[in-house]
Amino acid sequence: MMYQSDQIESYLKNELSLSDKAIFEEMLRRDPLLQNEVHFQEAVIGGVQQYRKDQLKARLNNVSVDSASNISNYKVATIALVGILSVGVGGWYVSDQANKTLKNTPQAINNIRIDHKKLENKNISKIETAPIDNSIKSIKKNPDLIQSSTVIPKHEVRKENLKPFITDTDTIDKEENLEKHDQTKLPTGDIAPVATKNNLGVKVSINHSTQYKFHYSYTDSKLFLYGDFSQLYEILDFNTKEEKQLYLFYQNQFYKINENQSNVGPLIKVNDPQMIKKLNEAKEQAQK
Amino acid sequence: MNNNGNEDEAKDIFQEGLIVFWQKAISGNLVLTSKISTFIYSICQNLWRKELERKSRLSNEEKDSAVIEDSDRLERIKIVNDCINQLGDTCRKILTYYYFENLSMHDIAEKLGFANADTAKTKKYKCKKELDEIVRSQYKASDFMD
Repeated sequence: MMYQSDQIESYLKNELSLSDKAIFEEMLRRDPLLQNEVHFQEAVIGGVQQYRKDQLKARLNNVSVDSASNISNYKVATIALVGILSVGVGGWYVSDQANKTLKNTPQAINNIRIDHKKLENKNISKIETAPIDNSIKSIKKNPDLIQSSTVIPKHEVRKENLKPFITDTDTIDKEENLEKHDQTKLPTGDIAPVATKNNLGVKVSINHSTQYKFHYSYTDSKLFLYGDFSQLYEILDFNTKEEKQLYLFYQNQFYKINENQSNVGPLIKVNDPQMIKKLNEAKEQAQK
Repeated sequence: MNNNGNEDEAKDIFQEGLIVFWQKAISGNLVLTSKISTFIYSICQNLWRKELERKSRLSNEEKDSAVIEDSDRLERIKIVNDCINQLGDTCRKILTYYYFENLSMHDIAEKLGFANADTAKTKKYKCKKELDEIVRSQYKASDFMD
């Protein structure tokens, strides 16, 4: 009798091996009494769990005065933080403007409008952080094969709040500006994950250039994207035994990122269906 | 809050999230790779997302039957809840530690001052049997069939 109740418990906890589980389910199908017993046990165990949960919640409720305000404080703190950031970078931008020519002003206005749009997207980005928890798991499970940073969309939506402040110049100043801007690293706050490995620490900057519509350059772990990247995109670090390769995923297409692309070059679409399939799998994996 | 949630739901989710976190932590299954607040925040997001999915699913298909099944289940659980209160203190603790916190027999023995894990195992078996009896005696078998 003890054996059977143990077995029922293991079954309900999903601790049976696949073959044992199959055997048990076959028995279950044939025996209505066993079915009753299993449902009964399910209810009893569920009841115990619910009981304990309620007990703990009751204790939590006794502290609730603080906890409610903690949640809203957390949100207020986050919003304040981002606000301060925007103001801070805005200040940098304004002082920088003094050094630029008039030619850049129309661009600047354009960029500020884009900035508003990005700020609205920020709310959506908060939901996007859900995958981050899972990306921590995926990195642990598949360290060898495929690493993907779904971190980046979140980072990028934030960075995009700031990037538009970079004016587009066709002068050599461009490189310098981007360098400078990278220095104002985003404080990652409470929401950013810490679990990404170093080789995924690719710094991405976007340059809304008029000269380059859909290009990139990549040196020294810094990826510069040129063009209009206002949609969500992802950087995939595709590691297999044969190759290690970065890919950009944007608007449903994959683009190969050459690590030696120090000059600005066009983004080249991946057309090979097999490769596309593999990349999609990698992307799915990382989002689990 | 951006998805038609109200403050009560937020509070519930937060409490659930905290409890999930605590369950993991106390059973020794937790490997923390980030700040605690980050981890809990992620748990809450997942819970809320599931809740939203559940809500949207309900409004699409067979809303009525799903709701009825759910409330049946809840009814059963409440019944069991009441019966648990009739158990002795130790029994109640053993069972909740085992089924909710997922503590090992060894941990339970330690926590409750039993001689060893086997003693705890036997005691737990007896307590469970007792609970089963109480529930069975109070309610007809038909209450537990789907």
